Amino acid sequence: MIMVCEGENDTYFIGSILKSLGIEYIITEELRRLYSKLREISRKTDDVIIFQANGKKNVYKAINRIVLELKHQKNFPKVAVVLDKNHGDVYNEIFEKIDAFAKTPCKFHPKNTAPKIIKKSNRIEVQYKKGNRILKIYVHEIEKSLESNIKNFLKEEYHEYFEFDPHDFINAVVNNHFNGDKRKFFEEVLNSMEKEPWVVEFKNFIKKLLRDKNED
Amino acid sequence: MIKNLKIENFRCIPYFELENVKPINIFVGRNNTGKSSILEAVALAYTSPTGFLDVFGNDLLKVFIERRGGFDNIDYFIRVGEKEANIEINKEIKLRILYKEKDFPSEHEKTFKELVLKHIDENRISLLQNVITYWLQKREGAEEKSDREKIETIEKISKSKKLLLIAYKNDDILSYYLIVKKYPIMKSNEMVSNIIFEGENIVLNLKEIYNSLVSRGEIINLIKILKEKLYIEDLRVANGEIYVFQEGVKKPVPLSLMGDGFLALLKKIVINLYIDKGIVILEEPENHMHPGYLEFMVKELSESAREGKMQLFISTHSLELIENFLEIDENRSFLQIIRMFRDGEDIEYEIMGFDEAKESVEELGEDLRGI
Repeated sequence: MIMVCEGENDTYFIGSILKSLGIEYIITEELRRLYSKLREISRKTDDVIIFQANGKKNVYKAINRIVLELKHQKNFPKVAVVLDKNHGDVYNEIFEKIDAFAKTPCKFHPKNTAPKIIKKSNRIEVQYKKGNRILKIYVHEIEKSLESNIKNFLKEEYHEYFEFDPHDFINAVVNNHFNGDKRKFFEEVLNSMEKEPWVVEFKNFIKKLLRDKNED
Repeated sequence: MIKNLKIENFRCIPYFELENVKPINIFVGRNNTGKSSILEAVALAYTSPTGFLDVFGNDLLKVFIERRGGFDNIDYFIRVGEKEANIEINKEIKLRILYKEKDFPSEHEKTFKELVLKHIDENRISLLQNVITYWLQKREGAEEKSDREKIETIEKISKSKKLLLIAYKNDDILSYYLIVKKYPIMKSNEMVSNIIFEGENIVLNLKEIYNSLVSRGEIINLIKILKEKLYIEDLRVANGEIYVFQEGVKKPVPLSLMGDGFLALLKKIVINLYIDKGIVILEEPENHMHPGYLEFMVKELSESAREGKMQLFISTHSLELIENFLEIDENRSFLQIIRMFRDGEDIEYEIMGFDEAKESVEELGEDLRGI
């Protein structure tokens, strides 16, 4: 499975969830590493690769690149996209970006080879014409944002950073109380927040994707 | 220069079209995605009006036949299951390639028979076609062939497997060619074109090119570049061999003993000096090259392409080469990357402009060679 997320914090948080589920994963900020990993796992699609796009704009770009690349692979994993809800209607925005990309003339030559992009209840389907292959892109929107949810949960414990914006709040806590170890911070945060509804929802989303390896 | 290119049913390519060919065109993709076929198509179409000869007189058609398994595979010039291949450049020059198991194509029967007769009359081919008779006839001078021999030769060729190539300008036939096993390639005309193709099976004779650069007065430029960039003091010819005088090395070294990387770079430098407003096609030019050489080569070729000295078509498997081209911001409106894919029997492609490619590499760390 490929999980595309926006930033470093998302990456650590997703990594913590996967670790808690006993799932191996790799993190990369480079599509070239993702491609190289996909070359290795072309016959085995249950590995998880977390792609940290560094920005919402890059999430969309990366998904388009993945849609194009996977078109030419016999086997491919599922793709999950994780974005903060405070970005607006993320699901529709992703759909529109992929759809526009598929309709861009210079991307899929010859003319009749562009995939069809379809909205399904919980995902976007990229229907490649050849071989009836379908790439499923699952979208998960985190309520508000990962950082603001965490800040909200920890604001009393670390009230001295209350004035900071959610990103700076997390950085301050990590630097001053976790010796700069973000991984450790997110693992502990996940433990203490595991009953929070948005965490339960997020965890279930990942569990479901991992469970339904072949179909859903 | 080539502004647009259209290929139909040539080798593995069902359809390929570049509506806006740039001064620098880089083809990337996995093996067997059609990169070399496109480069060959460009070279064949460009040289088709004048007999497929490159600027040095190499017969590119012959090279392309030989490097794909020789005559026995000539039918593979046309995509399996198709009747003919077409390559069009600038919506003006069109090369039609036909394969016939027997007979001539009815609409051009007369033309091709005349081509055979022309070659019989010029003693280039005969009924007893083999090397010995060919050379004997040449030595003995042009004999008048009997009508019977001519008819028998045409019949023999008619019954043979053959590849027929017709070059058009708009709808007018410019030239035509016939390829039949054991016969030399029959051409309606032959002269060099302003194109250089460097790749597998094509030998660039550096000695000849050296002599030519001497006669063109450009050898001084070559030595200047070599001195500045490669610490080579001089190149001199003695006893039919080019000797390399290296900085700090007392004894000159024959060029043939220099490293593969040096020879590869030297060829590119020489090509750059030699070509003038022509087409340069390079197959995997990165081969044998140290990154420093590669960077230098990319700078030189980019500059020449931007100045209109050459139009470049490159196939590559080197990420470094691609990134070197993208590092030169002046290439912005001069370069495009064509990413080739194979989907079963079909060949597909994506065209990326400079900015998009650079952004993808820099922001997403993409490997433009793909998965």
